[in-house]
Amino acid sequence: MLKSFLTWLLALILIAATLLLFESDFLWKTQELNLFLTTPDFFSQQMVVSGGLLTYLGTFFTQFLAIPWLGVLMLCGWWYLLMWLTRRTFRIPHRWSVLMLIPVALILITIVDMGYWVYLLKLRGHFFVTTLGVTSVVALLWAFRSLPSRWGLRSVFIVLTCISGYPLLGIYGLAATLLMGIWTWRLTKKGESAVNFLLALGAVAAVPLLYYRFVYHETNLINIYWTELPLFRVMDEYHAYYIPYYLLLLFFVAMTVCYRPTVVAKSFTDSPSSKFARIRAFAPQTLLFLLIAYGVFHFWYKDENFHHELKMQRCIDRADWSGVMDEAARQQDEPTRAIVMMRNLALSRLGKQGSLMYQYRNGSKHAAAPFNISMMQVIGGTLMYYQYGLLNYCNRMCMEMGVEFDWRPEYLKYMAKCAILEGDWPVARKYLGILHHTLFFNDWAQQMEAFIGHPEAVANDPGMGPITHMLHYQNRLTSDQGLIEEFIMRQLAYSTDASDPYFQEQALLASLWVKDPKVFWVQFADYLNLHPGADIPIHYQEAAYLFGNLEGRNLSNVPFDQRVRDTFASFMGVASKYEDQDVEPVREALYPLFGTTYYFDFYLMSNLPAY
Amino acid sequence: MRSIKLNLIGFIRPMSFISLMGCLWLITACTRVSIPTEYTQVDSLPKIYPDYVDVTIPVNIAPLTFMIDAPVDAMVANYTMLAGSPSKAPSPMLTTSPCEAPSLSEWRQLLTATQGSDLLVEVFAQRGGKWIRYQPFTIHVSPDSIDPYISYRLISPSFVAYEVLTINQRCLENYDESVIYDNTLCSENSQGQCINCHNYQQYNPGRMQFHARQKDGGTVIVYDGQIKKVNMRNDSILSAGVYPAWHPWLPFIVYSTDKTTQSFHTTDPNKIEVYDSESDLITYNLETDEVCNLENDTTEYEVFPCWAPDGKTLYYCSAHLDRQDSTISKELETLRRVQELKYNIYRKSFNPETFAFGPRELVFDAAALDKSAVLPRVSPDGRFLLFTIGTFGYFHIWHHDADLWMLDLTASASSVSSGEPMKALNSPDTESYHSWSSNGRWVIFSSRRDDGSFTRPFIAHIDEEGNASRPFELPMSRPDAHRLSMKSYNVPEFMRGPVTITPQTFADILKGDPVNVRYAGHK
Repeated sequence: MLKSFLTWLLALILIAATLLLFESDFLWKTQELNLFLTTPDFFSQQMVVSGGLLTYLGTFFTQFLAIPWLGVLMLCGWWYLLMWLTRRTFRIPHRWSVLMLIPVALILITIVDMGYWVYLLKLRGHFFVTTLGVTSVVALLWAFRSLPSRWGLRSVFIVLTCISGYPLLGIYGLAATLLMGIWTWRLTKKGESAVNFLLALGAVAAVPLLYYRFVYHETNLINIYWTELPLFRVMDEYHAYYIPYYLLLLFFVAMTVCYRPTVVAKSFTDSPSSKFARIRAFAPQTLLFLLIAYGVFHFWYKDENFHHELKMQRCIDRADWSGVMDEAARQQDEPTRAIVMMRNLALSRLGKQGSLMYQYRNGSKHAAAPFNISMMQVIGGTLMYYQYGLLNYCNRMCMEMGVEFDWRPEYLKYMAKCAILEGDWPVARKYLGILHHTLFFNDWAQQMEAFIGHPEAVANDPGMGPITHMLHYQNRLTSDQGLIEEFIMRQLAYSTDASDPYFQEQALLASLWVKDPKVFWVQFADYLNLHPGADIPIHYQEAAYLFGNLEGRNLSNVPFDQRVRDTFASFMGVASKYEDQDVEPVREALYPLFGTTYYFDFYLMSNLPAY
Repeated sequence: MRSIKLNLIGFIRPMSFISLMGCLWLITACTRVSIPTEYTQVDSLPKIYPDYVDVTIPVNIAPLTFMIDAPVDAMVANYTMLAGSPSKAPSPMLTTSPCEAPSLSEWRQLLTATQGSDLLVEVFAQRGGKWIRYQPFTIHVSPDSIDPYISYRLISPSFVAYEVLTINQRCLENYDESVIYDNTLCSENSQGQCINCHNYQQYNPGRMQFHARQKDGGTVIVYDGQIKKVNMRNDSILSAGVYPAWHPWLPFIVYSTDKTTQSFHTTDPNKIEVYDSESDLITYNLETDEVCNLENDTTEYEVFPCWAPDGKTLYYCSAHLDRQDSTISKELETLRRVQELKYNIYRKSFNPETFAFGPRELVFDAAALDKSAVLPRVSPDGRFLLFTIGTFGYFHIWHHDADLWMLDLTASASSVSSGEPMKALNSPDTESYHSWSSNGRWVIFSSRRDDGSFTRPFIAHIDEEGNASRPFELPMSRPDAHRLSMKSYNVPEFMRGPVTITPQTFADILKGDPVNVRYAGHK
């Protein structure tokens, strides 16, 4: 018993430590995307679909990831219970207690293998749902085994499990019924077993249909058998992500098929006595433990950009701009556009974008996700629109995402902040009022309420203050076509408002992005007017020198830094050797020499794919 | 003084330990309700949500629940008949937050006794252990009853996405709400289904229609127990039917056909413009499945047909826009000139014997006022025309300046265009879709007055002379229900009873093959 306890404890400590040390940003994001309300209506809303109780409990426990150690402790507590229940239910000998780690490892994989699915999964409370579902299944199986084999009690229990399990637990209720149907061959006499087996099959087939016809109206007929399973679908279905679920089912089928009441019961408390026997028992357990550990490690999602993005989002949420730059400094791989945009945003907040933005690696790597959709929208769409002051678009994107993926605290927070910045107090109160009904966003909502009716406090707030400087766009009727970076840059570049130096500098930076000399000169002139006598950041000088030379302007009286002139001359000299060549090899060749200049960006970083 | 009897049905959630515990707590809390004996009287009226101060309600409406719109520890409301009322006064009724819902039977008894007179509402609030009593206010109880049901679409005020849409029905005499149809029954993964434009022939839930778009799309038509799915697309008409108008008794529906586009404001508070780049009117005969073009002038943008209750006049809206730049697409030109789209209200005579329409006749010249008038709805007695007015365009639900106006159709010809704003109904924010009750004494309309973004249904009494009372928000079992909801109410329509067809039956019909319409020329 103690050995089982120690094995499991060791495993859980390892898992908890790994989650807390390496996935704290993932845990933070998970709870930011998880809404649990303490209202009766929230409970009712979950119960309109099969498995609603699991969703309710899943979102309830997931919210505790706001305090990461507490959320992880709860998860590990559930896993310990699952292992203990599994061993008791199937009467597994202590020497095989490591077997109990298999379902835990599979459930862990369903969480840590998600990667970019964290943004897209529509199953609410997914972080805990599988754990709660599987634990319920095992608990039901234990009750089933414990029933006396007379008066048809087990037959009744099978039917009741399906009738009550399906609405409460979704597919887990069906799985429990099916496993009872299989297990009955090991537990009861043949005649009764056949009846129970057929009952289980019939119930699993019929009960969801009956619920569809008479109870639920929010589930398509084709989905009624899969409720409470996450749907790994975007445009296509990604079957590989279901493998842990198949293996979980297989594990429990194996448990029921291999169950031998007399033999197992006898050996339930067995422990090998001789040294050789102990080694013989210990070796396969160790091997299995290592195999499980390797499997978890192998399927753990370790993509660098995914983790950089999460860290940067978290830093931006705290207005920790230096934190964003610290993370940017750790970048090894080619960054995604979301990373580039978040990094540039941080530089602009620190007042260094004009002089440092090309010191960091540029790029547009496809997010390491299997689906081919615009990831910028889900990773940084709301964030970027908000931070760049396009509040209508931030609000719109939150609405669209809230409709698509259900309401999440992140969207409600952005919508509340947008409303506060726009002075739209009633709707701000509405969103904050909803967040008041959460356990972990209530404090935030109270802090935000203090800004309502106090624009001066908003202007002085480290998070919202900078955005008040960005509210100078002209109104246009248009659409972003899903191209967020391009849309923001074009809105800025073609802005004519020069009343706010911060906004105007963003417009100048955007003119560098659109690479249009006419736009640049307008913005550059405004910049010089707003910063008389100040040093001109190096990249603005480079752009002016470049566009001036391209247009044949007389630049002799402009005080460019000598290095600007030298680098340009050097770049043009080297670049001329690569004329008519494909851009990729030229980019590779010239990056070490000129990657930190606007010249390189202008000529070699155009038309990057927008993922 | 009696304690409130709680309606537990609304609270008990089967299989919910948590809810059960909550209910036990609520019962314990609510059974202690009594009027405070020690309090401080204040001179002001209570600031309550929803605002039911001085509103007029029908005698058969569900209990009104409200809360103090400020942080308080507790609230007690005492409903009594105003002194001097003709009827024998029943016992006063107490409610408190959060067990707001008064007993339905007591409420019914109170309203029946008070009809034609006023309810007096005393509100007490507790702060820091001390009670205060506000100035009492009155609620006028009209003997005019209201249709027992309304239906509406619940939709988040999103712009493009629609994951879950439902057409719901709500009993106005209590809080019962059920789903008529839910689009998720047909949606599959990335293939969603949009549903819209539920409509009834003369408030009859047995004769209804709604559209489904995209997945398994088509128009579902219910007619006295027969259900069919109609594919209204045809090469000879602009689009499938969109905004419907059932003839009051014939199996005959007029639709607008619309090429609708939307575009987004970068900074304007209206956030979005929804507009047509082309639109026409068609007729559809349910018995023959024939469609005809009724109006298809390319320079006219016809929309929102509506029948007069006598079935002899069709009202509709139209804006005129001549093309000025043939170098760009019509869609782009319309986008650039969207503020020039000023919709007037027109009408055409109709002969129910021959199905022939007369020429169009201007009813309300909104363009002359530099306005745009849409959604004409004629009162059941045929006297009043209620419509929505805004500065431009026709999708006024996204226009914060949109208001309700009314026109007396029996006024002299010289004043026929002199519609007037319904000051009692309007607010500083959007008022839009509206519908008359079958007895013509009530209107229900969409308003965004609560928060500027989410549409809520408001109901107001209209007397024989067209005078409106102060409207009240649709009563909910919990007063904060609308504040916690992220859905808008869309197209509230009165019904004489509930739709009895199940959502699953509608889904079965939609998954089946449609009846294709035949084009039968121009009317």
